[in-house]
Amino acid sequence: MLPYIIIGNRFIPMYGVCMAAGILISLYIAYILTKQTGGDSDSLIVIATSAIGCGLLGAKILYIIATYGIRNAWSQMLKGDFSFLLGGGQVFYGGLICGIAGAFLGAWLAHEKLSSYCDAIVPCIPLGHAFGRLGCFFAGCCYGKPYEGIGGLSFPAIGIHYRTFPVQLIEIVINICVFAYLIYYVHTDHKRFHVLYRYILIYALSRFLIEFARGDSARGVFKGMSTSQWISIGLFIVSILLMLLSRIKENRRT
Amino acid sequence: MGVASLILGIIAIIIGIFLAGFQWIGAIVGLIGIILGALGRKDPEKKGIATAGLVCSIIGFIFCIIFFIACVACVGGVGALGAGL
Repeated sequence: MLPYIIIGNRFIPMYGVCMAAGILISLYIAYILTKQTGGDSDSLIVIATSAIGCGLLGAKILYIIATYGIRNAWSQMLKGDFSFLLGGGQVFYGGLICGIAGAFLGAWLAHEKLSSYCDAIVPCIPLGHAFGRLGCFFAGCCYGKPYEGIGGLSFPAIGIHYRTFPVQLIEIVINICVFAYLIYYVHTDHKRFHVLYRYILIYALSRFLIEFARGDSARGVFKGMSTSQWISIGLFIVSILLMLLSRIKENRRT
Repeated sequence: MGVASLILGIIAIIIGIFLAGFQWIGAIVGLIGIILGALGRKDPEKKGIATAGLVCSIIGFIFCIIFFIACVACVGGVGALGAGL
């Protein structure tokens, strides 16, 4: 665990460093993939930046909804207290959903079709996410349930003195495997947007299962399942429906 | 767009380095600068200044995001260190 590094008299959070590294490396790989497919790199930057901006905003909004609740957050804002907005914490699914909306906005700004850039951008989402989880590992957040087996992690700097299930490391491995699979998939013959549907399908399933091993409480729980598990179920169904819909459209054309 | 991107990029860098606590504003400014820079590069006559704006905005955004984005535990970790000192 290394929550921060000290340079001079400044505390530099490792979570922020990992996020920045993830964004830069993911953008560079998206740039390479765009060059391979003959897309415009400037349009890619507009689409990706718009997606990142909306994604960060969405991740924060969902975190506030899940932890504070809309009513509490609204009443605090009415009192002129905005401190909760500046505190840490994001929810990945909020980032993913708003990031997709942001990508559509970016494509509109760049006068491009999003489907042309989907193959370059989507495989980079799990890569960036893996860096985010590396940040969680360094910061000691998003930890697992108490666990005494092999690879258990403790985070004494934040008061977690017992050993926990290494959820962050498992999610890093899963995200890197998904990234490798999607890179392979975009180089095969496939239909437009199917790379996005496949990513959501795989990630929703893995996240649903991983959530059972999570031990941190700041995620919001509803009817025995976490916010992310409910969203996983919804996104899993939506991506299956969209895949079926595109198959039906394809069959009608032929 | 290129000039606007360059100005926003420089503002984002200044906020990122010198204005602790306001990095969220710098991140937004940097993001807008990146988008304007990338759109400005499509005009061949102003490609140079737009590229400079794009680069400055990316650097400013990265500086800001490093300090702005922090996980709950990360903030707690720094707090724990402060208490320890």
